[in-house]
Amino acid sequence: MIHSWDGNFRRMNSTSFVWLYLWTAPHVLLAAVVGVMMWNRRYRASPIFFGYLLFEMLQFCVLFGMSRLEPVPWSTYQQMYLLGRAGSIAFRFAIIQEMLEASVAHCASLRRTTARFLRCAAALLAVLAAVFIGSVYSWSIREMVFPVYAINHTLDIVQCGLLTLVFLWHRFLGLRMGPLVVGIALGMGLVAGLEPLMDALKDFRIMDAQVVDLLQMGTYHVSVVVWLYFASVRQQKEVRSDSEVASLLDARKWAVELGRLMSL
Amino acid sequence: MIPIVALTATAVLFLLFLAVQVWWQSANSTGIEKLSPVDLEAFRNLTDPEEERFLRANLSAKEFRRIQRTRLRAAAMYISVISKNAGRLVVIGRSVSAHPDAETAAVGLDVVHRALQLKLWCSLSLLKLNLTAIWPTLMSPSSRIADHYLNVTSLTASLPKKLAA
Repeated sequence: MIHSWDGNFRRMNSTSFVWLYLWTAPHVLLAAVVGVMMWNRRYRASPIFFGYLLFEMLQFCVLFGMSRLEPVPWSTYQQMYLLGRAGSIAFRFAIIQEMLEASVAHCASLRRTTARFLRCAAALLAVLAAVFIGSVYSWSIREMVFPVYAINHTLDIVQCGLLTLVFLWHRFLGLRMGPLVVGIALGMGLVAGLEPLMDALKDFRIMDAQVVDLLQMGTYHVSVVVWLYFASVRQQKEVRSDSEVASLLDARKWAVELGRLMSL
Repeated sequence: MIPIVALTATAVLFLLFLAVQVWWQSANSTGIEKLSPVDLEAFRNLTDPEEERFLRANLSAKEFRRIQRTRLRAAAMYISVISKNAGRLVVIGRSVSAHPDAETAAVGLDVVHRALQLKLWCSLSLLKLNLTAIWPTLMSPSSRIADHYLNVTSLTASLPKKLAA
């Protein structure tokens, strides 16, 4: 969930219908994604992503409820928000691992190798991202509204790097990703790719903070729509027709050809 | 302004990359491509240690390095083809793994497993071959990849009988 927590939320949610819409609508759509995934049983293939959707909805219910209850102090809301944010980040890394391991899910040794590779890549990317964010903000460190943003930006860039790896990994193996996996990666990439830029627009006062908040929430909305679309796209069956079975039968011919080459 | 430019460039590049990848994923069909023929005997010859020893003993150091580099480049081309074939075998294995017959599906999964391993070995071998090409006198390439390839293709060859049954 993405929305401003810089102290303006009470003022904004009382005045702006758009703000309220962009806060609530994606979470209503998340419920639709959950429903679609349960209907076509895709939660079995992406259990961590399914858990993430439920977590986001729960987080929204808690924060929305707190924002409506006047006695809840701002600091408590802030703490809950940070807790939820940390949970979301952890879930997103787990989803990336799930996507990366999906292609080798049936093979324990390859899965272990992939997990090790992911850890190493994440560590390397974290260092590179920290250096990048450090150098970006070194021009004016004071502009950073909240220091936690530095960690957040770093983790966003690490996520972008790991999503890049997920795509390259599938390209390397010559495998086609399932539509839901493509959708998950695209939605997560949109949010993770644009968030550091939008926060910087806010930090450096290039754009009004409220406008940037709306843009961030809009980006999240788009990513949820992307998830909903890709969750409802029907997955092509692996073996579809007699012609494909015929292609598989050709494997015998290839092997015979291979045997002939070996005997030369 | 520089931070904004840097972050904008990063975001734009990443989003372009995402768009290209999503297009590639949706544009490429799951159709099964035929394997390219690989002359494994010639590949074995190129990576044969005996052959290498013979060349080393009968050629000058300079000549040996030149010949060995050419041989390594040729071996790398063979491995590239084997690697592509391994990718195709993964697609075949995945298709078969969805077969309703449990035994056939299990063989399909086995093909996927072995072909994925072969694909990774090919990548490591290519890396090793490229390193060997820098110091042809210090390192020797391995021909074990040919055995792994034969292993997977013969397993794939057993699939048609099961599918036809």
